[in-house]
Amino acid sequence: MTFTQSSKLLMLCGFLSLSASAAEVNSNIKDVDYCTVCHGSELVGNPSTGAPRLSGMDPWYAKRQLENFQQGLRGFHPEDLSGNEMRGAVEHLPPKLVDDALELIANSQSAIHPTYTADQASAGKQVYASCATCHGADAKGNEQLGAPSLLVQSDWYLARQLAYFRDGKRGAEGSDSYAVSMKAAAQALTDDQIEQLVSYLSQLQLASATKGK
Amino acid sequence: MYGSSRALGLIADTGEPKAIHLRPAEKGKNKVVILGGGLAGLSVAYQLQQAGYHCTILEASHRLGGRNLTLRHGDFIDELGNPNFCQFDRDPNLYFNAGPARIPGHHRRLLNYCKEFSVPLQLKANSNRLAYIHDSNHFGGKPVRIGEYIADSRGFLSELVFKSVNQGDFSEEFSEEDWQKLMAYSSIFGDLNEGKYQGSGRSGSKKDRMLEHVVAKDPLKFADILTSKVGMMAALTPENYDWGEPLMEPVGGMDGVVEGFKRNINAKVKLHAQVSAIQVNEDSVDIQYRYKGKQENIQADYCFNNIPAHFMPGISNNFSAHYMNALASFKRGNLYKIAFQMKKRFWEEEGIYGGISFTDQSASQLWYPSHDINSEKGIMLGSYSWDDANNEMFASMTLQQRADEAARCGELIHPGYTSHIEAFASVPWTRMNHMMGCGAHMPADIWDEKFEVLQAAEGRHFMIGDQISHHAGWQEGAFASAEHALGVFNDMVLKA
Repeated sequence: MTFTQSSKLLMLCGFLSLSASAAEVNSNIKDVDYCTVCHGSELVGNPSTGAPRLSGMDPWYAKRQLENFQQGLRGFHPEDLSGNEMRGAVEHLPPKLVDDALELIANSQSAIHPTYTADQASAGKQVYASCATCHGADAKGNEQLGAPSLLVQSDWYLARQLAYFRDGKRGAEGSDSYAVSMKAAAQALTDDQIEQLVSYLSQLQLASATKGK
Repeated sequence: MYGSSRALGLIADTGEPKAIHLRPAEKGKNKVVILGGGLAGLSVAYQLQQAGYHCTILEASHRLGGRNLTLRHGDFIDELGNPNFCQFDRDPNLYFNAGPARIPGHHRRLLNYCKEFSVPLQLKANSNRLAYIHDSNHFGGKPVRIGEYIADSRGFLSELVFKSVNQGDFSEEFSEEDWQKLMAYSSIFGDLNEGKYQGSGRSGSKKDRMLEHVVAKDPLKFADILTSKVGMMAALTPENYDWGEPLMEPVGGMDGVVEGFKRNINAKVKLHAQVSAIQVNEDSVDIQYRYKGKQENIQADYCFNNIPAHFMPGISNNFSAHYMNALASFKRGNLYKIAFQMKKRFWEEEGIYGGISFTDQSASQLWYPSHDINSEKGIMLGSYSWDDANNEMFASMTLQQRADEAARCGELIHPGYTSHIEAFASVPWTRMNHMMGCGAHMPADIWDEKFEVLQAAEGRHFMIGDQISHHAGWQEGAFASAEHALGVFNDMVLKA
């Protein structure tokens, strides 16, 4: 049975309500330490929990994604398990804690560890040419266009999200216009091209990290 | 996936606990830090204190015990995004074992701790012939009693054996007398009548069997019996070595085991202490952790790590690449349970006292309590599945949706089910704060290699927990991992 089917049935047989309100139970959350449970210390990201790196993320992008999760624009596709989990975790987060979380992201510091080898980077550079329009030739992103930096996100997560955009597991919610554009942009990508792209981005990240030192 | 591979498998004997004789701690080398207050961590603390070590337990959540979680009135259920409180009545008999819930007699390590700490145990029926099989595509979609399925399946199978022997289909390896014995055995095994199965009183009688002769129920269709996966599950899971009757549970809730440890350990316990970094040095281990909004440090001579392995890639460390690679290979298990407080023990009116009904619906299993029979109310388990898709579906629902869906499934077995529900509590382990999973596993082709890496020490750091055993999701696995790690530790100390 699909989620939608069962949801329909559920509406027919609601029988009992929890007496504790969402606000009441949320008062039990004291701080945003629980972000680090999945995202790791210093929000370094964790492929085992499926949680992306958040340290280094542009504040405007972090804010938009948190709002997307809260407003039902992200994390609904049943095959996007981590997205579902994230939506569940922050859906009812009070505004104060959203601010605290954004502050935690802004203040966190972690090293990025690119794992893709350079083998396919030159092929990736070719594929990246069309991405550069929005994300910039240096992949630092463009706030005006709503395109995030690709230098701050772990390669395993970039690869997964590219496939999600392509397969309609992200950007399917319609009213997130940025995600819809990205879904269209990723439409024709093959698995090999994703591999190549991320390989190229890994190299950009390495170069950027070296320059930073 | 987690249980089903085991459901029909044969599992070797659980090992006898090794007597742990640790070399007494030396001054200046007696500080141990234990990361995570789950059962493996608690047992390490208990064993080390006997040898004179001073242990500190850093636990990220608000309580000790890990997934040994018994929920009662007012208990906090720390689910990410869905923090809530258990709404059961204030009554010590109304409890829900959201994690481990049954103990077989061969889990010697756990049972020894229960004895040592005077944790009272009671029998818990795990299988029950009067509980139901509900398979929407078999048996007319109506619930049938498990005993009926068992009697009929044995009957039909025995008839096949009987006929084959009678027709001389088997090889000549056995003597005529052997064949006669096999026919006699199959007749008794399947309750045959002159080699034919025509139903059996073992499946129940159509008439009151006290005052009238037994009139066997009409047999189920053999094709249904063979193709009903739910039926097979109901009939054959008790064949699993861990689920063979009789099973046990602590009186008053599984957390009696945790309370036993709490009464008997003198380790310093810090709750709400979330580990952020582990550094293993030549002669010490440094741990950084978040505590009350601040970063704190502790240095110890040794470290036992009970943290779910899937968190380790997010915790800074200086582990070797192959050790870290092994830790990062774990996949999170997604076990999920929901329990209902029923205002009436309606199942007892149907002759069901303990045991499990099985359904092909998302709820998969309904567990009836074995304790406090004939009391007014009861807590019954409304869903427990080994299907990834079911578990993920329930986890992504709201609390209310989970209860509604489980109630819908229960209603198909027990009409009126929903009307008895007074309260519910659900625990999707993939979303429980500081847990994010239950039933850790990794691809079978790499498991042996990684397991060996993780059973060894990484310098002064020892990985423990049910995850470092062949029995994830069982307390005995956690204790076995601790026992093994203490053995490695002791060898290290003796060599030093």
